Parts: sequence; structure tokens; C-alpha cells
Amino acid sequence: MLKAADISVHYGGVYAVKKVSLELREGEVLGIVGPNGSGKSTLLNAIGGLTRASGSVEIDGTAIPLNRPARPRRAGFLRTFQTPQVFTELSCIENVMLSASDRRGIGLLGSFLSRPFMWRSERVRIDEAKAALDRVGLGHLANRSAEGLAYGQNRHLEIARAIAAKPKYLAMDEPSAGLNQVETSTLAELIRSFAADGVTILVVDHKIDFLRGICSRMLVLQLGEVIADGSPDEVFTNPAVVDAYLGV
Amino acid sequence: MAVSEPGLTASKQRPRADAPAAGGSGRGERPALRWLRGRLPEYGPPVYRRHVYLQVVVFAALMAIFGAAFSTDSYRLGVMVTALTYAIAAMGLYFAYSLGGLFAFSQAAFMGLGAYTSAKVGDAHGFLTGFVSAIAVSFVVAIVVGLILRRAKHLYFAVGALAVAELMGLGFANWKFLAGDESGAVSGIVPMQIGGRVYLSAQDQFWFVLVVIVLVLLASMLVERSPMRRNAIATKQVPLVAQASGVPVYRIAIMLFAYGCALAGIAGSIEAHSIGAITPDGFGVGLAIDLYLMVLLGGLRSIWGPVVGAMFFTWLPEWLRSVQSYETVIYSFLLLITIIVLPDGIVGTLGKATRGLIRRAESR
Repeated sequence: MLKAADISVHYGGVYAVKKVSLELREGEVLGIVGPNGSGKSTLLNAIGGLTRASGSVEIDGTAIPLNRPARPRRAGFLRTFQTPQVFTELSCIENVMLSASDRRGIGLLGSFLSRPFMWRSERVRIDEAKAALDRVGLGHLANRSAEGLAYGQNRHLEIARAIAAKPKYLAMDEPSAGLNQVETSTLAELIRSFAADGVTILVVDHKIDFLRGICSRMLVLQLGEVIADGSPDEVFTNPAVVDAYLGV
Repeated sequence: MAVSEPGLTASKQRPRADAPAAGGSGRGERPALRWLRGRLPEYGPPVYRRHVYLQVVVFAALMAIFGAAFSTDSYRLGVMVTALTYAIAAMGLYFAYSLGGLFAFSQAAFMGLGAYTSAKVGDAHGFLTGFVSAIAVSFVVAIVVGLILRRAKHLYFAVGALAVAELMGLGFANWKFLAGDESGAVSGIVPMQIGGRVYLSAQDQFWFVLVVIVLVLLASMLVERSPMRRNAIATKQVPLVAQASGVPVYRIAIMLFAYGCALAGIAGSIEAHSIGAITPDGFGVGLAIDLYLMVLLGGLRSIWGPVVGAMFFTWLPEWLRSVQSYETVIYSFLLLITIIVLPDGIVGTLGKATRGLIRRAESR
């Protein structure tokens, strides 16, 4: 279980996220919605250690220090970004290999003294990265440079990088942004397949239909605070949500 | 699982030269060369599919031809020794700067550290011990400096490295233990010597340095052909994302910096023992900038960039000797033109042109 308690992020005097607590229960797909500027991405960045934040995060009973991006990763928390973060100087498969779950033989020592050992791990990393690319439908681009990929391909490359790490928790920041309807439904299917594999998923998004199709629980944020929490049906009939978010 | 190709629009669906089947063996590769290619499947990091060791062999052969052709020309051989020495130091900068993303303005100072260490130790225990301790001391000092500066980014690292360089310069000049005479100059350094064989003449020095640079190149190719490379490039491009993906960003940067400084130590040691005298000024900011220029001229994207850059940088003034008083003006202009005309460096531009030709040949 991933527990975030009293997460606050402020820029100057303005709170982007104000004392938000959330629990991500094992095996669930949790959706977070909210109008633009409600602090969804900031909350995700805070949990991922990428934004200066206060509060506490606990993954599987271990306290994770904030503001240290390497720590959530070590605890099995992987994520994708709102603007796809792809390393354009590397090939697609290298992008994915960066986060490989097998992390042995990657140092200077590995490259000089223990090369057979390094190669063994490296071959596993290549195979796993290829499998991850195949899974998101980018297998044929493995050798290609990540520069000049289409927007949707960048998104999927990021997803491949995240799942190559064999995450226990996968957080996705607006994965459907910029995708057309067909691509969005393909993405939903992909996310459902991750969930079926036992990955616990946190999705921040705008597309209500997309979220309804994949989420088992939803959280609604407004101006940095949680205003509703429950199953998709409950949430979308909640008058506060209808008022604040749907603006009806 | 049937997943369509996401985001692949019709215009992007050109015939794929990049499909796995065409991977590394698509360009009519000879089986005899395949063992050089590494033992990997056809997909994988592109660097594993390049003939990097073959490149070193070609370089060594070219240099050997040069050495044979000018075997009686001590002057040219001497210039080449300088060029090769700079090439080693510039290669170090390739690892620290091009891969590690660190503005290592301390590279010249680390060359000095290698030179002074090697001269001091060599005086008491012979060249080889001095040479090895130069590498070890540069490496260890670099790790300490790297740890101290690990959170300093970009220009802040540059300023820190410059400060370290200044401190080292002061040390060379004033530290009684190292300093030769009052100004810090050391002379009468033992020549390069291995197993009773002394490498004193220009010819001997050339062949000795050639062997050293080939060994350095082979070691560097091992680093190139390892996970270090992609982790370093990722760290340099977006450190936070790399870190969130699990790349040990500090460790990677520090190790590359230390490796680069060890190469500076090698270059410094060779300089000290081939010339026989060193001064603190010889390893100042001027040299640091020159080394940067070599890397930029040659190209940042390949390890051959600094090698070619060092050659160009060392030989250009020699070729301009004939124009005498205009030398500096023409030299500066040529540098400027090179940087404007070849923004990717000499090697980068040549590489791009070659790839373009190959693509054209393939599409025909």
C-alpha cells in the first residue's frame, strides 16, 4: 500500500496542493481528476520526489523521504510524465533499458573488470526492454533513435520504460492527453492488462470516459484539496463534484 | 495481446530500414567481422553494433604508417607525441563533459597533478611507478572533488572545478614537497623507461605514446560499450527523470569525472617524462580552454572527436609556420570558420555525411 499523508506544496504564498492525503491500495486503479490547476500533477510530482513538498509518504510500510526522486523508484514506484520525458539522444530500446529492474554491472567496475557478468545482465536487460516495447506496440522501433517519434509513440515509450522496471506502483500523468479515440481505447486496454498483472495504478487524467473504463476508485481534487473520494459512479453523482468540476 | 501501433500516422509508415531484421547485419556485414560486433541480438543499443575495436585498429595502423613514414623526422614525431598526449587528455574531457555533462575546467590541473605526481614519484621509484601513481592519485583526488561538487550543476560545477584548478596550481607552485625551484618548475625528470629500455629519442617516445594511447582507447571503448554510456547520456539530458527511472546519477557523473581525470593524469605523466621539465603555468587555464577547444572542434558525440580535435589543434599551427607573422590571425580565423561551418565538430559532421550517403545508397 502506498500512503501519502498531508502532502503540501506551495509556490511562494500559494498552495498548489494543500494537506492532501491519499491511499493507494494494492491491486486497485485509482483515478485522480480535477480542473486544470487543481494540483493533480503537482501531487504526483510530490509523491515521486520531484517537487519540494512537505508531508509524508510511505510505501509498503517503509517511510520514503520526500524530494529524493531515486527513493520511490527503489520502492517500486514508477511514473510517466505529463509532457513525455524521452531521452532523444538514445535509441528507443536504450530509453527503456535505463529503468531495467536488473541493475547489476552498470558501473565503471562492471565495464572494466567484470565484463562477462555485465554482459549477462545486459542481455537480460535488452530482452526485457524489447518485451516491454513489444507490449506497448513499439517493438519494431527498438533500434531507432527516440528523436522524432510521434507524440503518441513518446507516451508509449515512457510507459514501456516504466513497466520495464517491473513496478509495483505505476503512476501516469495524463496518459491520454494528445491521443485520439482509438489510441485512447487501446491505452485503456493496456492499462487494464497491467492491472490484471497485479500492478497498482494511479492515473491522473481529464477524460472521464477513459477513467470510468479503467478505474476502481476515484479522487476529485479542487484547488489543491480533495473534495470527493469513491467509486466512479459515486463520485460523478456527488453534487460537490458536479458543481466544482463538471460545472453543470 | 493485439496492440496496434500507437500514434503511427499514415505519413510515418514508410518502408522501415530500422526494422529489427535489418538491425546490425543489414549493411552487408562480413561474417569475419561479426565477432567484433559483440555477442548480442540484432536489437540493442546501437553502440554495441558499431565496430569500435576495429576503429582502434585502423587508428593504430594509420599512426604506425605515420611513424614509419617519418621515422627519421624527429621534429614531426615530436609534434605527434604532443598531439597524442593532448588527445589522451581531451579524451578524458570527452568522458567528463560530453558524456558526464560536467564542465571540467580542472582537466588541465589534473594533467598537472599527474605530471607533478609522476615526476616526484618517478624520481625516487622509477618511471613506471610514477606513471601508475599519477593515474591513481588523479583518480582518487577526482572522486573527492566529484563528491564535494556532486550537487553543483552546469556553470556552478565549472566555477567549482576552476577553483579546484587554481588551488592545485598554487600547490604546484608553492608546496615544498612537490615544487622544484622557487617558481615551482621541475626539471631533470627521468625519461620514460620500462624494464631497462629507455624511451628518450623522438622515435622511441612516439612508439611508446602510441602504445599508451591505443591502450587508453581500448579501455575507453570498454566504457563506451557498457551501460555507463546510456546512463550518462540520460543523466546529462534530464537528470530528474533519469533519477526517477532508477539511474544512479551522482555515481555515474562522479565515476566518469574520475575516469576522465585519470586520463588527464596519464597525459600529464607522459608530458612530464617526455619533455623532462614542467612548470605550474603549463597546466593553467590556457591549457584547460585549449582542451575544451579540441573536444568542441573534433565533435562532442564521439570519442574520436577529441582525438581528431587534438590532431587538428596541434598540427594547424605547424602548417601555418610558412605564413609567419600572420600565423595567429589565420589560425584564429580557421578556428572560427571550423566552428561555424562544422557545428557538430569534424567527426560529427563527417559521421553525419557518411550516414547520409549510406541512407541514400540504401534507398536506391
